Amino acid sequence: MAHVISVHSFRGGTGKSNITANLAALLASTGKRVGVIDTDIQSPGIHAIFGLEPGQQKHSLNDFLWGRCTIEAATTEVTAVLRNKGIAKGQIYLTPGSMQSSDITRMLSEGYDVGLLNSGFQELIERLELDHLLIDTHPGVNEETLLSIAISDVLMLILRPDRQDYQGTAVAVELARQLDVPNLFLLVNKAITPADFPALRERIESTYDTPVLGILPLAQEMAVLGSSDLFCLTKPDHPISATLKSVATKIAAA
Amino acid sequence: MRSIRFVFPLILTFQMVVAVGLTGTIAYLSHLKEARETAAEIVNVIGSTMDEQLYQYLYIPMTLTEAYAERVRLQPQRRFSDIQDPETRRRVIDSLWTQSRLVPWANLTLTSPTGQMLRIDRTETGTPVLKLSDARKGGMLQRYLIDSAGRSGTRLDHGRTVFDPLQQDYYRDAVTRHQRILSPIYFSAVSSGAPVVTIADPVFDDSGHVRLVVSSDIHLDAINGHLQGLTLPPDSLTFIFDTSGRIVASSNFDLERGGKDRKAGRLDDLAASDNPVARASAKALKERFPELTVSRANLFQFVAKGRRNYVYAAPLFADFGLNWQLAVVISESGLIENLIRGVRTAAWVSLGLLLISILVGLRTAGWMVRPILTLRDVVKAVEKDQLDLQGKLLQKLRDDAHRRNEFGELATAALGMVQEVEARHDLLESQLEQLRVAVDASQTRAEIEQVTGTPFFRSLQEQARALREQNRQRRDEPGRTDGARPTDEAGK
Repeated sequence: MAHVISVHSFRGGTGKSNITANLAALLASTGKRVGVIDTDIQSPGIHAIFGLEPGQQKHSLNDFLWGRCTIEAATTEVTAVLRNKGIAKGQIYLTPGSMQSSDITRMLSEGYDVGLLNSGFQELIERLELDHLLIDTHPGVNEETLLSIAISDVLMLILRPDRQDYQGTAVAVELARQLDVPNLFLLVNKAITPADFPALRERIESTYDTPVLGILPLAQEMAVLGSSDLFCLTKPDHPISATLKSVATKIAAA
Repeated sequence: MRSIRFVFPLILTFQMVVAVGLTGTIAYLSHLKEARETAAEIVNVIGSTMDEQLYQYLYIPMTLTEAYAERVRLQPQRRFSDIQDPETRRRVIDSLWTQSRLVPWANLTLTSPTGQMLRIDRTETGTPVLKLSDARKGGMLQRYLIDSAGRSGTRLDHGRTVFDPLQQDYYRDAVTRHQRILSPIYFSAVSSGAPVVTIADPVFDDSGHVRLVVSSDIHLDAINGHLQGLTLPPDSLTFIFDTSGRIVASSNFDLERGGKDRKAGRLDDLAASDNPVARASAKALKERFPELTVSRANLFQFVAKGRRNYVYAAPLFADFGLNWQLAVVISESGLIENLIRGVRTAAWVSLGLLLISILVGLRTAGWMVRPILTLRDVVKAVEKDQLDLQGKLLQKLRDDAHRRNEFGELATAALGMVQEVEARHDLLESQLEQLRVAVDASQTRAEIEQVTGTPFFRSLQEQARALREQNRQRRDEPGRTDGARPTDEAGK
């Protein structure tokens, strides 16, 4: 049975897409077939991490939602990112959002059938026989996000350790609970002072009554890499990569 | 606390005033003193030179008188009547030629005790002539030319004169005293009332009777003319006065001539004249020499109406028994005006430079003090946690950091320190905020209600579990996972 894993954050800039891409790579590197859907239609970005150039993909998620193509046609395999790093196992499939500004504008103005998303997810899982489907959501709360959360087997909320994220995450956690998400996890990104991490984990877990899968420090190396490559494949021995690997393992086991 | 904003410029200004001001003042005073000493020396030289020049006016006539008297003494056989002989007269005239030409200010005169007189004189046109007169013969007068054009000894004219040489004071005085005498100043009747002094040397025979009196009238007009002909600086004044206050000669005034009133010019007249230099000089001389007696050469100064004057005063002809005094008055402005002006200009330039130095010094002080004050303000602001990172204060520090000197290094270090402090402060704030996992429950509730109150959410909530179950069932349906996996050609 395939896992539907939503990666969400209440605010933008938490590193959600980057973590999603890295988790996809780590899951795939264990020999799994992993799908990634970028539902952040308003500001798509995960394609860049997988090295997908604008125009390289004929169709996008937008086309599927407008009925122009099948979900499969809107999906492309990006397993090359694994192979290029010498990883022989696993596959990754990416369904990107349209990178064209006209499509983004139209989507914002006309909207789409949210219900179509769910069938698209299911169809993709079936067609590509995915083991895991990672949904890179749009930050905040809107209909497609709520839908993604509602159908997820695992919801991982990314938050930064600051006042606004603490507040917003509380809302997201409560909404997830009301939608009966089976597995709810937290992942803290861009944390400072590693010495405080144990205390931070304890406080967050007790505040939200939710397990924290990991705490990623604010790392210069990650910032330097940006969205140009997959950090866990580029620096597999880095502590961040180790943490992400641990997170991937826990998600896979959930 | 005494701020360096004031103390530093004050010290710098004080140093400049002391260094430049004192040096300038000393230089000014030194140069002024030197200039005045030079002026005094010049006046001294002028006075001495004048003294020597004037000496000839008495010395030469006196020497000639003595020489002629001695010559007469050596020729006891000679009689005054010998002059009537044309040949003797011509030889006498020839022998007088040099004297008449070179000593025009003196009239050599030979007077016999019988009233006969031989005198070197000049016509109205200045031609030297020999006058022969005889008081016994009704004042008979004959004039003979003295010239070098071959006409020497030629009688020019003849007539009569009322002048009786035997009645003259100098003649009587010389005969009575049996020695050479120098008369007081008097107005000579034989010289158209001109002021003169007369040297008279009597010659006696073996029996003690007067043979002849040799004399020379010395014209004070000549001395006066000499003084007036001097080229001296502007506003200068030279005059000769005697102990009675009589002006013997003057560079600025013509002498009184003998007339009916026979009034002589006096020092008091100078003191009351319109000439300010003459007025002030007469006053200064009377103050310095109340008895109007100058025993030796003196050099002194006086200031009149803000103008400094130098005075050379010395006894004149004292060795001839005269009680005359020479006074040379030269104004400083006329003498060393350029020098004084140069010194004063230098002083003004020094003063200007001092002011410029002070201004530059104050600016430099400000330039040096400013970064320190900025640094102080920054440190204070950091201490009170009131530093505005975008404010003017930090901008000043950034500006100072651009300086290529120790101030720049100091400002750069301070800027780095401030940034480090701010970074650590921010880090600390972040650390605190990170650990302050605070959630506003009421706000959370309100935001949740905002979402959960929508029909979409309520519908989704109802469908969520079923949707997940449905999806699971769809995925678990037989045949959905049958067969080979896709050929990984999705989207390719």
